[in-house]
Amino acid sequence: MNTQTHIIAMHVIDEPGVLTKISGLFTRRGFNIDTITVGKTETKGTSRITVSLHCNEKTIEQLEKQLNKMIDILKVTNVTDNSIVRELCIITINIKNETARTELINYTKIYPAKIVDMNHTSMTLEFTDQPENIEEFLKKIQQFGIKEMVRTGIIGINKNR
Amino acid sequence: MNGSERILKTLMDHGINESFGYPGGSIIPLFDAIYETGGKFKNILTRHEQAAAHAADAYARVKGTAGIAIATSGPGATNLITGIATAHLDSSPLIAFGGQVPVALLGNDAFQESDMMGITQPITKHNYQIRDPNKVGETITKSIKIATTGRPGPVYIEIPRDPQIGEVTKETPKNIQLPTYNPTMHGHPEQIKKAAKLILESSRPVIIAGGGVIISNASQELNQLVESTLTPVTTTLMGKGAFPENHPLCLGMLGMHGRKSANYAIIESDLIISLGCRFSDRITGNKDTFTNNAKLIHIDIDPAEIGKNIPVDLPIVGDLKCILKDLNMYIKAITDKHARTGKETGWSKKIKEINKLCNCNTDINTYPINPKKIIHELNTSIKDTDIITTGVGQHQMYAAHYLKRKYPRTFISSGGMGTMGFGFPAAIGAKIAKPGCEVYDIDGDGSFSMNIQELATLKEENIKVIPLIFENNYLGMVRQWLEIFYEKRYSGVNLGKSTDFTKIAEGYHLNGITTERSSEIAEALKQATKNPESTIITIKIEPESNILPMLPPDGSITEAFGGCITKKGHYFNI
Repeated sequence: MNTQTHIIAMHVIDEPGVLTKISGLFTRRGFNIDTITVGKTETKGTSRITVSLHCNEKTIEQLEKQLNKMIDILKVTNVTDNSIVRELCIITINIKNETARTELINYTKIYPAKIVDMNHTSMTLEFTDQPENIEEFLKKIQQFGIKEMVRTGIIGINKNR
Repeated sequence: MNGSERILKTLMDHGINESFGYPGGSIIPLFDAIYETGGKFKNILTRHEQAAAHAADAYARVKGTAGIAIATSGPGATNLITGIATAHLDSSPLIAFGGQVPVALLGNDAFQESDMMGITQPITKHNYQIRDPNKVGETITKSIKIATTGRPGPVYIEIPRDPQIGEVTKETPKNIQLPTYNPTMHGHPEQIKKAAKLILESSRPVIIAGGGVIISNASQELNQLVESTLTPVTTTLMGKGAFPENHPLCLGMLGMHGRKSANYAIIESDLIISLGCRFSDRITGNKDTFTNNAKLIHIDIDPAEIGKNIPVDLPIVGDLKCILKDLNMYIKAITDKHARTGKETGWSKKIKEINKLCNCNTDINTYPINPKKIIHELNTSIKDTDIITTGVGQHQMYAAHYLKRKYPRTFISSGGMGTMGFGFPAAIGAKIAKPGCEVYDIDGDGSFSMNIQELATLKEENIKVIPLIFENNYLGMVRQWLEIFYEKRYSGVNLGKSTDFTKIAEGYHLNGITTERSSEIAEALKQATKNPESTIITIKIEPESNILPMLPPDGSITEAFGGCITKKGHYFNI
């Protein structure tokens, strides 16, 4: 069966222990999480947990069913397709010389990357896009030497119908 | 009213006035509140928390309502774990209360603190921690609903010491909602119609009745389905008693240790109708070959079970009783037109014939005793309404094969978890649930020893159950595996001969009978039944008897070997 990246969003009751219960279910049933993010939602007292994982159709179906059984989860939505998907990435890059600096600044003009901090030896960029575009950007700037990088994990929302 | 009194009031408002438990520092206030009820709420003091959990679990299985176990924090609570996990795998509505250190000390590694919320999370349907005495009523009401409805399962409630003592200042709300919990009851009508059609169009249908039939009290509806379509029924271990086993179309248990007639029906069928069965590995053997091109209708209340282990052709999600009622209605509507209700087919005739061949003789009078003989005597002497519990191992499989049960909730065994030591405390729970019935615990010397301390509970609480210990001085099931698959390299299975269960019984001031002759079993049973107090019967059996048929590990059900079919190789060459 074909595997692909699936993105599942869960509305959950905002109580202590809920995240443990959900991540525990993933471990217990052998689902491997690639990214996980948690944040507030439009409704008070609820959080939204977004998980991305690489698996086949059968696994994702079983996962959704198991999640739907959890009493702390209000709603499970698959946001893999027909959705807006974003990830934020902050990257600090070494700057060896002036040429490198100019070249990097040029990259930020072509790609939607924003310079958020800079000194003599390094530059920090903020980049928000679809995960695959982030991957592409990272490949491009790898040559400069990435000092440190942080990614938020994927979030997603379904498109209006 | 304090939090502890509110716990008991809420339970009693729901008709629950019995529990099984063991006290300790962090749960003293709740035991104090039990004292205060002056006997209106009764706790059975077991001698180990594990036994309390098993007893409450069995109580729940026999009664069909929630069973309550109580333990203190730390070691008391961790001792419940095996019992909770057992209830979880067999979908039993156990509600376990555990004390906890005061809220202010949580997370400080205080005396007898353990993270029970973390520990119980993977083995419960849900768990709650109550920190506010005003939340007691609401939480318990929700817990009872979660434990007993949908696919039932255990709920663990942790209550630290202070909310047990704290004053309740608010009434429990009248209308308690669980917005995220809404099990599907009625199956999709179109799917049920399709199922009716599939069943009537099939030429070799077979039903697998699982524990779900018993849980949803759907035996009557199942009976109707069988009578109108003459579809043979196999049961899982958990489904034993869902369909009367003296019926010519009842093929008994299928699977790894299944009866040949049951596995034969599965292999030869063109349509499998699974009712509340989750296709565990003990049923399917090798999953890839299990359905053998037959179509599969899978009916279950838990959507996650559908397609989990075996691919399904027609899924129906909902409560079995509701769905079977509808299914019977549609079948009737169709058959009324075609007038084929209850007509014998070539298949039903053949199945009945094979089933007869598999009913081998159990009245075997050998020395040492053949385990089948004990089951034979039980079949002869016990009432259909009496309750049998079992431990786990060979004796359990002998019971599963040869014991004839007619009614649901009269055969209580640890199926999914396979918990040795379950049978004896389960018998205690069953007896408390149905004091009017005789309760027999079919047990092994290994299994029985695991919760042997409950003999004290029998005596002190004046509970009458009859443990029948199949004594072979071996851990028989493992020994059987070592004999067949490990060239008789008996590692860690020899229990020795130093234990005298009758003397132990006497030490607890109970009656004990030991017998090693086939001819004495009936008399021992008669005496034990007549005696108003518990009698522990020890039966010395053939030490190296094997329970057959069985499948090799990872084998397909066509590879089952052994067992009695009178004409060897007559129907399938195994």
